Amino acid sequence: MAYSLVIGLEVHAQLSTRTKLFCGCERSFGEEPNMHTCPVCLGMPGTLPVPNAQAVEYAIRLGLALGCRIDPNALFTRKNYFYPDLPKGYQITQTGGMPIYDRPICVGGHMHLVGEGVDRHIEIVRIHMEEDAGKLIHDRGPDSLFDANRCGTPLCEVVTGPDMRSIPEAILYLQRLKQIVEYLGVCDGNMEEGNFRCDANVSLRKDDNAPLGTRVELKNMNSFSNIEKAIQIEIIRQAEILDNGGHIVQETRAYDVARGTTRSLRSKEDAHDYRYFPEPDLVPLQVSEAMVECVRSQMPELPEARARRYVDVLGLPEYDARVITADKALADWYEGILAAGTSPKQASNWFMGDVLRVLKETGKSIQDLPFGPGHIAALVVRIEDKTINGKIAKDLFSEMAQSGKTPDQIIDEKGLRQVTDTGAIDVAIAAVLTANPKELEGFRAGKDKLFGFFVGQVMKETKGKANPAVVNELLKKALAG
Amino acid sequence: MELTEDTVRKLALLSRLHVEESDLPRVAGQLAHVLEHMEEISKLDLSDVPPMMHPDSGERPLRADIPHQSLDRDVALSNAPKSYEGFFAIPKVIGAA
Repeated sequence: MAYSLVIGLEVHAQLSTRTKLFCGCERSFGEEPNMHTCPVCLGMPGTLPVPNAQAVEYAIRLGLALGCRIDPNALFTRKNYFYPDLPKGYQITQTGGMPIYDRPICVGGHMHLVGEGVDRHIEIVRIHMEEDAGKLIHDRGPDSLFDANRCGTPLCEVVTGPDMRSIPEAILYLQRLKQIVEYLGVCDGNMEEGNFRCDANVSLRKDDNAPLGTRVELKNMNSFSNIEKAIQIEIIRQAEILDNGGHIVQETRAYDVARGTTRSLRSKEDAHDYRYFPEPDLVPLQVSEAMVECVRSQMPELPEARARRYVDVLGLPEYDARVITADKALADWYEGILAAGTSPKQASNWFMGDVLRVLKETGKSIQDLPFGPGHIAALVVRIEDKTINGKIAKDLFSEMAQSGKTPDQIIDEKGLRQVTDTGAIDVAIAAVLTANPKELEGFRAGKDKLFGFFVGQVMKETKGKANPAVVNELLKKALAG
Repeated sequence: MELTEDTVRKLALLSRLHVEESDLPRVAGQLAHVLEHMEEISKLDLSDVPPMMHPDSGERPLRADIPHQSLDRDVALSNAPKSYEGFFAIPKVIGAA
């Protein structure tokens, strides 16, 4: 039987602050274990948390970008659980068991998803701040091992309503959200390093008007393709149960990348088992109207607006504008070419054609290219001042993409300077005509098409360095003989 | 307010407190007494009273995002009964949430 799919997503975005949420330990990734700990993040008795102003600002920034209302008195709460990934025995978060304690920093936003056959309004129910847990390792020796480096790292959890109706919608939402946090500079958006993590609530129902079915929460998906696969597998699992007249159990399931299955983690504990209560060590956050307005006035340009500007102001085609702005790093790089003085259209020709091709071929990210936007600008200058012609420019680009040398270095080293000196070109033409008497005769007998042959031969004779316009002009004269 | 011994066992487990079996009736009675008191308070009409989020209504400064010196790892680990290659070593807990 066919069911209709309902997906809601929870994204944990690690905020790209320098320090943790409640102490001054540095935020880190991939370092030696337990290098960034202090009495606060190790949960020593008598210590007190102090919220990081930058983290609060980032949360407000994200909330404003998603059209949320900012709560002037957001409240921190304790979520109590005994699991050794948090030494305190509780996580400081902003969700609460009782409605009056449930005061996340941002509520009531939205995202309008358009594109790739999708047109849907997604409600952003809430964005709350919380601290990340540390890392446990279970497969080294007889004990479990604990690393507290990540303990206390600031997170924003972005929660949608059950508003997505297909896997492509879910993926598009995640891509858009990732793009937004990167543009805002509030999160690095690196899924492999776990600083942009997604949980998916998946349920099935008979048709689009039926009440929502029981949801299952999927975890442990660290790439878009894993999310896609995990949801697909879960749909099949749930449909089988429903087909056989069974009931879906509300639970958390982890995606097993190696096996391509999901497995139950534990049945979802009743909310009151976490015994939420207001965090006594922290007073409610005081976010003034002035503070919100200050953040609003410094909002960076978002992807939508940037793409619009590329079309309206820079005159790029819609498609090019979308491709370049899809990733903030790409767009910044592109604008680097403009900043070095190249016209928007020429810059986009090189960018869309050659730079993106190199990225695709090498699998590198734009930051890792051996050359920068200034190299492209310098290359365009050398074409415009006729030092090199278009053909040589392409060869020079390939060389530059490999070695990272500047265009001028390569021109000098390889002697690529375009020959506009009519004397030298005349010598080459004379040599070509002497070497090809048959073709010369044919041309003079009326085979006009052979003109292209002569141009090619002269360019070859000059190793591609002759100015094609000058070659054309001189060749016409010589052939007219 | 009725409070069963099973509920007390569950609360003890969640709080990681040890309560002797023989003590369960006594603890159940004490907790029930606390709940009765809460029920008394719940009878008050507080519809005009804004909820108190924190007994201290004062403002607290936030912290600037500047790193401090973290603990020396050996010092941090010295507080734990056991460590291994820079990690805190703890009894195996996989799946025991």
